[in-house]
Amino acid sequence: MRTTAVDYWHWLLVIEMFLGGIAGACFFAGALADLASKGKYRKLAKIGSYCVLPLVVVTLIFLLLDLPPSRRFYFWHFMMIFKPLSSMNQGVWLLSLFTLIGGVIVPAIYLAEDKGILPFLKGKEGLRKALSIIGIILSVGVMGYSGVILADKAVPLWSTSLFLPATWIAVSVVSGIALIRLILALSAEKDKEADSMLAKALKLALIVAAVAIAIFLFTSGDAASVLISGSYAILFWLGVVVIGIVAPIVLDAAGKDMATVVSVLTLIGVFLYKWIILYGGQV
Amino acid sequence: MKLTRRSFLKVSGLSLATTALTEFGFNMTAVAAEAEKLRIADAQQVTSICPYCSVGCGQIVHVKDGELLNVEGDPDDPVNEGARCSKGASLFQLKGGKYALENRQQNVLYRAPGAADWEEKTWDWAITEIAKRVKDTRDKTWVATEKIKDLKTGEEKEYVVNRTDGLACFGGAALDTEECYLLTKLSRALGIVYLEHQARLCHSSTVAGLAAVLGRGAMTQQWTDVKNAKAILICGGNPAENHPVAFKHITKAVEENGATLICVDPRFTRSAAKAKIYAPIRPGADLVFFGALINYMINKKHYDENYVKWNTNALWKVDSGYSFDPKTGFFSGYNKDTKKYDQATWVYKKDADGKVEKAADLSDPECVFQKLKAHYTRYTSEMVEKLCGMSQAKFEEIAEILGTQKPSVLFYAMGLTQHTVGSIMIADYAILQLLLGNLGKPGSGINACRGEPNVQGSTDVALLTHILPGYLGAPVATNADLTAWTKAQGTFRKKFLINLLKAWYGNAATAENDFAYSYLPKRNAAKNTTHVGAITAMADGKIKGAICVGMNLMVGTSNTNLVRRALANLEWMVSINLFTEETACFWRDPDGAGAENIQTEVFFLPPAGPYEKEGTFVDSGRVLQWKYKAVEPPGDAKADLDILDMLAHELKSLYKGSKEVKDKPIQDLTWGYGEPPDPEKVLTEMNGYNLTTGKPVTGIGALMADGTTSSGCWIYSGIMAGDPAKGENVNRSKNRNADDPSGYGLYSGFGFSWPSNVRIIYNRASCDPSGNPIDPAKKLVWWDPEKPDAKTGKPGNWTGFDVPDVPAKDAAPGTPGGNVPFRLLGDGVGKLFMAKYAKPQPDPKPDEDPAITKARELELPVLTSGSLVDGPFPEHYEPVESPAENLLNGSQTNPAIVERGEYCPIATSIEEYPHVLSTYRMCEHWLTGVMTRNTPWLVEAMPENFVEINTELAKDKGIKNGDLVEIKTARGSIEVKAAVTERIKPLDINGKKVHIVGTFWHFGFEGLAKGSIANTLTLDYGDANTQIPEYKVCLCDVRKVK
Amino acid sequence: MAYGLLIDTSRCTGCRGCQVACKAWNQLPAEKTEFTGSIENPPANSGETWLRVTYHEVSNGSGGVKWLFGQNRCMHCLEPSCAAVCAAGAIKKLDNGAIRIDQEVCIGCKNCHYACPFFGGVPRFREELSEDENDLIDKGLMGGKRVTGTVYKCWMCQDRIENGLETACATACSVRAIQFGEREELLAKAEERVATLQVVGETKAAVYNPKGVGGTGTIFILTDDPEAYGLPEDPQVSTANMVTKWLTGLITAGVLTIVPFWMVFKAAEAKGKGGK
Repeated sequence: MRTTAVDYWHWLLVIEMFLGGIAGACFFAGALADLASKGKYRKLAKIGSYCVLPLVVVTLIFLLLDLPPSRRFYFWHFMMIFKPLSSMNQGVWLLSLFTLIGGVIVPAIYLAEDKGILPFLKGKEGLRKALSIIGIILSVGVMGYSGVILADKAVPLWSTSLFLPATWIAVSVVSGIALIRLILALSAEKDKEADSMLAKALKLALIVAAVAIAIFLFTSGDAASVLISGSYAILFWLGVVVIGIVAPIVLDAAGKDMATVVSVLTLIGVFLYKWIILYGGQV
Repeated sequence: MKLTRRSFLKVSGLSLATTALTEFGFNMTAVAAEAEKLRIADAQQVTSICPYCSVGCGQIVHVKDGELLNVEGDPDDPVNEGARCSKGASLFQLKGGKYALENRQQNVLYRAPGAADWEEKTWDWAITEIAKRVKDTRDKTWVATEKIKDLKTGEEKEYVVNRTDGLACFGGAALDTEECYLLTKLSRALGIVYLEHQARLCHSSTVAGLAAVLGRGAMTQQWTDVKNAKAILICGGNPAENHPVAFKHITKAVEENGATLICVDPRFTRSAAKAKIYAPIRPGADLVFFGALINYMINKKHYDENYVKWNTNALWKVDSGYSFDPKTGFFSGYNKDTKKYDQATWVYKKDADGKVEKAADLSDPECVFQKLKAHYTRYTSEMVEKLCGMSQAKFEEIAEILGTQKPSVLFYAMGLTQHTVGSIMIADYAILQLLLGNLGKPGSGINACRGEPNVQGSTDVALLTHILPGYLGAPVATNADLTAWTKAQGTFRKKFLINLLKAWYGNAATAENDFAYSYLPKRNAAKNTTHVGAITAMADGKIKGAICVGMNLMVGTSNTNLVRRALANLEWMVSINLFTEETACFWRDPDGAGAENIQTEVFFLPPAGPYEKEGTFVDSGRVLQWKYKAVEPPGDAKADLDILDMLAHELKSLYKGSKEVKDKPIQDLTWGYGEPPDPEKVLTEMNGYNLTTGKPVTGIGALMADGTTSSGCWIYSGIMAGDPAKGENVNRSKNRNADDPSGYGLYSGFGFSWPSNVRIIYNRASCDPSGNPIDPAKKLVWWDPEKPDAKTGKPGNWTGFDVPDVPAKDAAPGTPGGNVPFRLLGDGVGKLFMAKYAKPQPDPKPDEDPAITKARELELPVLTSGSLVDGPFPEHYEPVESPAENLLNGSQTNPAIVERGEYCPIATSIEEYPHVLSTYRMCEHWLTGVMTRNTPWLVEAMPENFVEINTELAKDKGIKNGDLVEIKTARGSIEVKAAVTERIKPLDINGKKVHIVGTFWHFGFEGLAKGSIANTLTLDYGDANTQIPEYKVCLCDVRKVK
Repeated sequence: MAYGLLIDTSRCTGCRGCQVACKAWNQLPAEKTEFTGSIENPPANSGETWLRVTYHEVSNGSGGVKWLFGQNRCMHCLEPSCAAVCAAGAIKKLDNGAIRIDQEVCIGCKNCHYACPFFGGVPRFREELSEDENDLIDKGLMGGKRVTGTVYKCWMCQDRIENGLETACATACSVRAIQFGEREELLAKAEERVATLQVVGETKAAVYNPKGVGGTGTIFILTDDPEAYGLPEDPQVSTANMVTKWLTGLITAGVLTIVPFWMVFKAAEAKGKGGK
């Protein structure tokens, strides 16, 4: 029972965690698709990596808004120390490094290929591959750290189970795939094949996420009751489970071209999940 | 699948590494603390005393360039050793901080008749206008003579009374002693008899009750001596909340001396929470409990036989005319028509030549002890269970502890004093301690926990209608001259009255004119001139003008609706207070008649705060301590001493040149304390002067009866006789030597305690008749046959760790002055039976002082001691409003009390008002809350009033925690939030379940924390002896406010 | 030398001298409060209230009540979660035993508040300072540092203890229920005191110095279960399993997602070849 007068952490943080997660996830999904398919789906990798920088920038803007006005522009204090034991400090460094590689260098290489700018980066395949792999690893960190920030607190819902970060990564991956799929679906030239691939991947990712959430709830004990039967139960069952997980799978199974709807529903589900965890912990 | 399993294995393996990692992270090397600057480092330190309860906690005020930085406890003060309660800890905010600066009144204000707001004025204007009104009212309402009917002969006789019935003066317990003294002096000179203050409402029954049994009306020991007790009974008090720092010494007794702490209280208080034994009791049933304790001690032979024989009147024989009839509940001499007792039979049995007969041993049926035993046989443990609601087992457990663990001390406050039987209740307490031999020894005594910082001082200097400074009886009409007064008071006190008159009237007081005795106003003994009497006279429009000095009548007086009437009927009123409180602002009382309908003129004068002026406070242990001035008062605020000085000079100039007799007291009044007035000059006047040398007298012993010395308050004599050669200050209230050679916690070098710096009064009783300590291990004072006397140089002198409480240092045991442990009683011994007694002049001696011979011829006694008006033995009577029937005798209520009629309606049916209501206090607020309700830190901790209701009653009434409820009595009703709790439980009273509800009386409609005035509910029926209202118990009903 | 505070609830009379003394010395503004059924106020610790006396009414088992007086205040853990999670490095463990927030480094992210296992998070955020405080700061009469928009808590009166004075709360206490001193000595005292309490019938008397946070600088002597005082039975350093949680996340989610993902697109690539 917390006696906090106000929710110090609120919706702004949910947005940060949501967007940050996607930033990592879309690079993760794109790059992975590219590597696995030996370049067949480089398009996805490009879309993913182009998304990173704008998403990170927006996330940082929200982060600034979240800080108290008087201290907002002291955020660089975070960068003044390297403190591996502070998840928040980890996040700062992970995000910085990831943005540099996955959000700047890798996209630059792609731009070099397509638009021919920055010629010195042209044809640096080895470098691109290497950076993509590093980027993938960092992206997992970026997806995970905001989960760890919650998990290493004295708040039962966040800290009882070992699996909150796991769910964080899983749902983020979902959101990343969903975003790429959405962009693809909205882009001019449709790519049925890529979409069906993404659909498969999304289904698997959703199942993984569902499993992770299940394990998380199971290992949280009483702390999870706020989501299962407590004040956030409706949002959880309807928002997260039905809208965010079941509906997308069913709709895709239905076979029709539902890419846009499915992606949007999944994104909503992921956002709601992060929302109810943050607020559910402070009930 | 495989993958998964492997990954989990990995996890478990790694999690070990993890913990190791975190461990590493955690033995985080501590970094060096930065050197911090102390914000008070270069501040000046000024010592002061806490202005809240009377524990007298030393404070250090930190000041820099005249600005207040910090206030904190004085670690060198043995009473608090630096400690403070929430109130004490908040002192900074009385002056410091935004709220105080904005809201503490700093301007002279005036409220015109019918006006809806204040207007700012200047001091000159206000003093001139006030003085004008005082003179005008005084001249209009002057009573020069009065016809009084003689009760015996029935014939009327005219007496000179020289008083005004049109002026009243209230308050002073929060002022410095010097200011109180000037207030008494000026008021008496003006002829005011309606001179009253807080002491009337908190401990007047203590003074009466203790004085009747022990001779002095004060706490008998020191806070710091409590640690020597073996048992502590808290009954009718709540020191943990109302005298929190006193609990320091209670805790010491419990932890270091193995004392058992017992708490008897209707509710489970913060004190109860710390007690080893807690027992509930029905409010107003305490006499049953004490009576039963007395009975138990006698039956179980727990009383101290030697002590009782040596130090009490146990062996003295009682007049055969005395009797008590349980059927009627009356003692002998009761007159049903006048509802008064003729005390003629409440006396000792005398032999042929007028000497009191004494029994050989305690078994003599005629002796006081046997009468006491007989009287209390009715007070059984069964009776306790029936009337108090305390189980017999609990009662016997408590009784056995008190009977076997000695010495023990008793703590009490308003829980006992505020009853229509208040005085006899306290007397009962004292009788119990006499039986157990618990007076005059270390770790023994009766602790009347006084409520205001200087109420002891304001009582000593007599801001009360019935006394003059030093507890000399204030003359009544029939004390026509000094001789008549002396007949009633005795030659012992006459000497001190003469010194007082010399201090007040200087050369105008001569042997020829009875030392200007006629200047003193004489009240009519038949008229109630006490607090409630004054309020009533105001309501009747008899009193035209009133002055309230730091006294909040609206919140503090019971039966508030009468106070509303009273204030609205005044022509003018002066209020002096730190904040504009409910009394100053009574005209904007939301429950009042409306400003436009109230014609009373109100003058508000802003005084200096506690650490903004110099002077003494007298703590509950009778210790005078000097407070130094730390900062200047804010804005126009002035010390009360300056205000009184301005007023006195203005009045003197107004009366200058008058030829009228009635104005002589003002013209001849001595008044020269310097410019600005110096409190130390005032203190010296109280100490007294040798008028031939002009030097301060060295002590009580140096005071003369022939007009060659003066002393404004004889009990303080010697305070200005410090010896710098011994490292003392001349002004001994400034002494700060915290040595304690005895280890008893006497601290004789810290401040000065009256009388003559005696720390444990009646300490002669710690010795046997021949002057040897009863318990050599705990020797306090003793007779040293070798030690030469300071004056005569003859061998043989009283000496000891404490100043011996004896008539004279060389009064050898066996001689008349050598065996009077309770020397302020004519009897010289403690009174188990409160007989009326007048000590005759000593037998003629060839070379005796002619004054004595003359006194004998005039049949003037040396020292008189009266009884209480409602019986020589304390007898239980029920409160005016009670849920129970008096099972002990035939009189439901005290037969000697006065009905209040329409002034105070009382409940007619228990069905209408089924529950007992008690009002009390909390740690975070103080009395009427004028200061605490304006202190943000305290308001934060206790923002609102609430009523404590038992869970069961709440359930019946559908009241939940925090709900708004209405409490209703025959007087009125208030709305307040509910605290549903198990800390207050229903009691089984003679087979009937009685619920008790309780609320706090600190709140009012002004200030930062507001709340309805709880005293709207209480009744103002007074104690038979002192008229202290029965605040503590009445009947009420509660309901949830929809 | 590491100092500490010993809170002996068996002695506390609930007078709140410490609560006000803390405000007075540290010049903290009063909060606007109201009566809500308990005499406890303010209802929670805050940036303006660093020490709060608590009142718990429990049954004494024989029809009566026990009234337990406790305190909410910084425990000055030996393994402080707040300091561990602070991303700005503003919270430090000092060699004199105090856990101190450097207001000038703090950026007000409230991470420490959620990490603290005591009293719903001891470090509390402050939006702005009072006029009185700013006035003192201007005059250079404020102890320590005050910065708006940062997180505050008990700082063990650094300005007093570093200048040879006891903390304001310990100085104020009438009944030695709050003792300031060398932590090791206080621990010894505590054990001694508990033994005595056991003898006089306080069978539940115990020292509260939880190991899960490495022990605390603020040691309690309790006469009832910790829960009865609003204290956690067995508080843990919040970051204790942080690395495990990371790894669990990386391995389960990371691997579980990467693998099927890989398979999907690997297959795609193969199919693509066949297609040619």
